[in-house]
Amino acid sequence: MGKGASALSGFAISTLMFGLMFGIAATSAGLSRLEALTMSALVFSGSVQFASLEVWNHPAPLVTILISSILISSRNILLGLVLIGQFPGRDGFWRILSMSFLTDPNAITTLKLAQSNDTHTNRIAYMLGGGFILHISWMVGTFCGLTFTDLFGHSQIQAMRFSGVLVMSTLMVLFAKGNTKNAFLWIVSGLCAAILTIFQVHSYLIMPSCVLAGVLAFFYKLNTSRESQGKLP
Amino acid sequence: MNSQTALLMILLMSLVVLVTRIGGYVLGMGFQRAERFKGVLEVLPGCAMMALIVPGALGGSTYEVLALGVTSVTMWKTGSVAIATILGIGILLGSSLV
Repeated sequence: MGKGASALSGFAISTLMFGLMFGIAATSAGLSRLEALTMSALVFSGSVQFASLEVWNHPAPLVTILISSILISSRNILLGLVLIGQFPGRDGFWRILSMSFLTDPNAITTLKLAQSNDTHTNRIAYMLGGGFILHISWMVGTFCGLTFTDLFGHSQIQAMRFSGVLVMSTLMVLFAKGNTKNAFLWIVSGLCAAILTIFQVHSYLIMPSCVLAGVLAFFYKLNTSRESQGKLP
Repeated sequence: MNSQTALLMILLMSLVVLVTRIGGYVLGMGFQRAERFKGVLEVLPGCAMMALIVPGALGGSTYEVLALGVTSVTMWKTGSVAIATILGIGILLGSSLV
C-alpha cells in the first residue's frame, strides 16, 4: 500500500488544491460544512461534485444532479474496463474495495505498474494505497477550503477553477508517454472535441462523441495495417 | 435545499459514482479472455481525457492556455506531477493578480 501511496503523492498535492477549491466553492454555493465534508467523503469525485454545485439550489433539482452525475462518472466504467485482468489472484472483496477508490490517477499509475511487468508488487494493495492518499488529501483540501474561504479573493477562486484541466493534462501526458503508438487516435479524438466545442454542441455529448471517434479511428488504423500487411510479398 | 434533501442527494450521488466505479470492472469480467478488445480498451481513457482537456483549453483565457502548455511540457520533460501542477497553478494564481 505504501508503494501506491508514494507513487500517487505527486497527484495528492494537486488533489489537495482541487479539494481546497471545492471547499471554497461549496461554501459559496450554500452547502453547510457537514454537507460539503460528507459529499467529499462519500462521493470523492471532483468533476461530479463541482457539477452538482452548479445546480445546487432550492427546489432541489434531484433528477438534473443525478443525470449529470451518471454522465460525468461514466468514464469510470471505461477505466474499470481497462483494468480488467490487471489484478491477479482471487481476492474478490479486496479487488472490489480497491475499485471503489477508482480515480483517473489511480487507474493510470496502476496500468503503468502493470505495463512495467513488476510481478512483486501487489496491485490491489498498490491501488488501495493510492486511493487512500488521494482520499485523505481530498478531505484535507475540502476542510481547508471550508475553513479558509474568507482568505481567498473572488478572482483567485475563479482562476483556480482551471486547475482541473491541468490535472487532466498531466494524466494525459503520463498516459501518452507509455502509449505513443496510439497518438494518432487521441489526436482524432481531440479534433472531434475541438469541432464539437467550436460548434457549441452540448457538453454531455462531447465525451461519447470523442470516444466513438477514437474507436472508429482505431478500427480504421487496424484495417489499414491489415491491408498493408496483405499486400506484402 | 434543506439539510435532509441535501444528505439524500449526496447519498444518491455517491451510489451513482460507486456503481460506475465497480460496474465497469464487474461488467468487463466477461471480456477478460477477449484479446481483440484489448487494443480498443487501451485507447478509451485517452479519448475520454481529450474530451475533457480540449474543450477546457478552447474555452480558456490566454493565461489558462499558457498554464496548460507549461504544465504539459513540464510533465513530459520531468515526469513529475507535483512540479508540473505547482507551476501551472502558480501561473493561474499569478494571472489573478494581473
